Amino acid sequence: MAQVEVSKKVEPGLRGEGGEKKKFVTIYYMGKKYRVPAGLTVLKALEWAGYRFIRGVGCRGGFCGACAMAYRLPGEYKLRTGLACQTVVVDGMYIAVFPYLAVTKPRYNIEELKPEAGVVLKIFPEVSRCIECNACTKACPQGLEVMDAIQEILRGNLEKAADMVFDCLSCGLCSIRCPAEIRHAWVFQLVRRLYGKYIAPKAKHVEERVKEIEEGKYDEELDRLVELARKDIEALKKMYMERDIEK
Amino acid sequence: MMVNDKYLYFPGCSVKRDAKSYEKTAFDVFGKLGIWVKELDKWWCCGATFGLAVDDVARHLGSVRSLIQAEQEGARYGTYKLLTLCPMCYNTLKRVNLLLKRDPGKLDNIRRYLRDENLDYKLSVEVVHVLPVLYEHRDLIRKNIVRDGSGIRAAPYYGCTPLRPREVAVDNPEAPSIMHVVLKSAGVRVVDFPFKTECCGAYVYAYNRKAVIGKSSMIILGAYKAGANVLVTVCPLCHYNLMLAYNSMKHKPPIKIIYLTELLAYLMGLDDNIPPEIKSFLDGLTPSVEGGGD
Amino acid sequence: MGDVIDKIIKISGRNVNLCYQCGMCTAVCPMAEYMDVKPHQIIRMIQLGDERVVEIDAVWVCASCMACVDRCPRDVGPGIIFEAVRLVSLRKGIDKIDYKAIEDLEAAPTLAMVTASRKYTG
Repeated sequence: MAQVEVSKKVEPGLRGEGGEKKKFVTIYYMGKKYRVPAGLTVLKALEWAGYRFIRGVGCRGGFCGACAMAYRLPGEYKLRTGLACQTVVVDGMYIAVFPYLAVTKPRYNIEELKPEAGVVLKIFPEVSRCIECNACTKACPQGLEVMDAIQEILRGNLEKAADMVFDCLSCGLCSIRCPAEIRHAWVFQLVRRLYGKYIAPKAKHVEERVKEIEEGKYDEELDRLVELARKDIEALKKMYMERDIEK
Repeated sequence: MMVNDKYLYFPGCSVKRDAKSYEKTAFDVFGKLGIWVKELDKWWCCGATFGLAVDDVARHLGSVRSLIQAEQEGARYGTYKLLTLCPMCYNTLKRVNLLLKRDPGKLDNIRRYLRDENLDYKLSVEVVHVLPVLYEHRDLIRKNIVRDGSGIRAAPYYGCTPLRPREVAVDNPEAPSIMHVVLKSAGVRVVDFPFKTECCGAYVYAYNRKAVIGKSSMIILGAYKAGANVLVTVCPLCHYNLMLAYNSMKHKPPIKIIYLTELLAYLMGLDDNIPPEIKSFLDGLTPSVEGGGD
Repeated sequence: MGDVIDKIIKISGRNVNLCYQCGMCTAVCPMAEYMDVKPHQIIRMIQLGDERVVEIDAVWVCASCMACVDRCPRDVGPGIIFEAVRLVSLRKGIDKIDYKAIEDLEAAPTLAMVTASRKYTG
């Protein structure tokens, strides 16, 4: 995370809104010890401690996948992973937040591809290096069956793979745990694109509507509305508010 | 349907993706012979090749996962025999299974790793290849043949993985004969040729394509010169390498490379899943079909 | 003996000193005609502690078909030792093949890709 440490006096023994003494926990960020209020997410706790994040942070709601982090808890060997905006601080936690995970993004033209496993393997040959250690699945903050999705690609079932990784945030945590050096997020993106373009059933009503628009079915109506906007914008607003959405 | 035999089934990636007709015709044949086969609900790539280094436990994980799955389903279905079509899957799964049975240290190592995922393996699964299964049912095969195979001169090609190392061999590794017997039971003329256990070149295609084409060409020509018009294989990788060699030949000999179950399905009259070009080639060798005969 | 040779012995788990150079491995090796150094010669080099063994092309042409392993009268397991020689390089993270150079990779069956990845990439 590209960040600036801003010096800030931390007042110990802060009181909460009701005047009660706030609970504090100790965390270690990049090896340095901080006392932070309990109950905060890692991201907020670090900001409370004085860090300002200008990269490696995004939606703060667990959807963008920008604030990937790894941590260990006291008394256990496990290297745990999560999103800094979704993980609550624990006393004695050791934390590293990753500003960016190096994954080269291959370029391809989706129009020229076919929805086949061979296409995925040509662009991402490392998929065939999977040794099924399951480290990826263990690392996924979304709880996806990452290893199984990679396996579905190997056996040519792109439809199933695309379905399994629909909720991928591209945080990249699986990729840094992977001994086969698979670029999961981009592999899955390609699989979903191939699925969307070539495998998923086409939405007929959308195609029909696009055709109607192209044929000029709505030109007259649109002209009328544009004319109305020019003459009486309030009437147009009223019309918009009162329109029948279901129709 | 009368059930003569029960197996759990491990398909393998290539059978699902690259050798679909191999699997489909195999299932047609199993159905006819009364062999009950249940595909594992979940399975993982076996690794395709057995990791030979003594300290390379991680590479066995895929196989172990599938063995565990088979063990769990085995309790439900009353059979711990895990059937494979692909001999590379057979070879890898069998060797991993054997290693774990013989080496408690490695088993313990893997168990400790998989404990995180609540998985354990109790060594109850037996890995089986399709060749000996068909061999056991050879009499039933004979009874179910409906087409005249006398015009088909089939060279059985075993390759490496069903036979080597000898501890996992499905037959005598130096002079295998079970595929010969199966084909003979199916009523075709069997052509023995010297390269039946020779290596096609396997994964070396990725490093030295010339060597693979050289080896596979030798196998095709060997079978052809011995008088065969059909080269019968059980392995998707052999099939790929043989086709690579065949397509690179300037003068292509009139011999077809096909999967064993495709040929059996044809002779049993189970035509639904035989690729059309193979069906028409075999029709050309069958006397009862118009324009056929040798 | 050097570190490289020690490593080969250790990860193969085999005893090269059992080999009496009968040449069976070379005789049965299907890929021998494409090898720069023949299987029994590679084993001899390891017996003599020659570390240039890691530069030999032949170990990469070995298809692990187990023909030599099965027939070796002294149970040396040449094919298993060749895997160890390959791993000495691969375990440093060095790839022996460039996927981009593989012709018609899209058509290669998964089984071919997985085996090649396991045998040729680190």
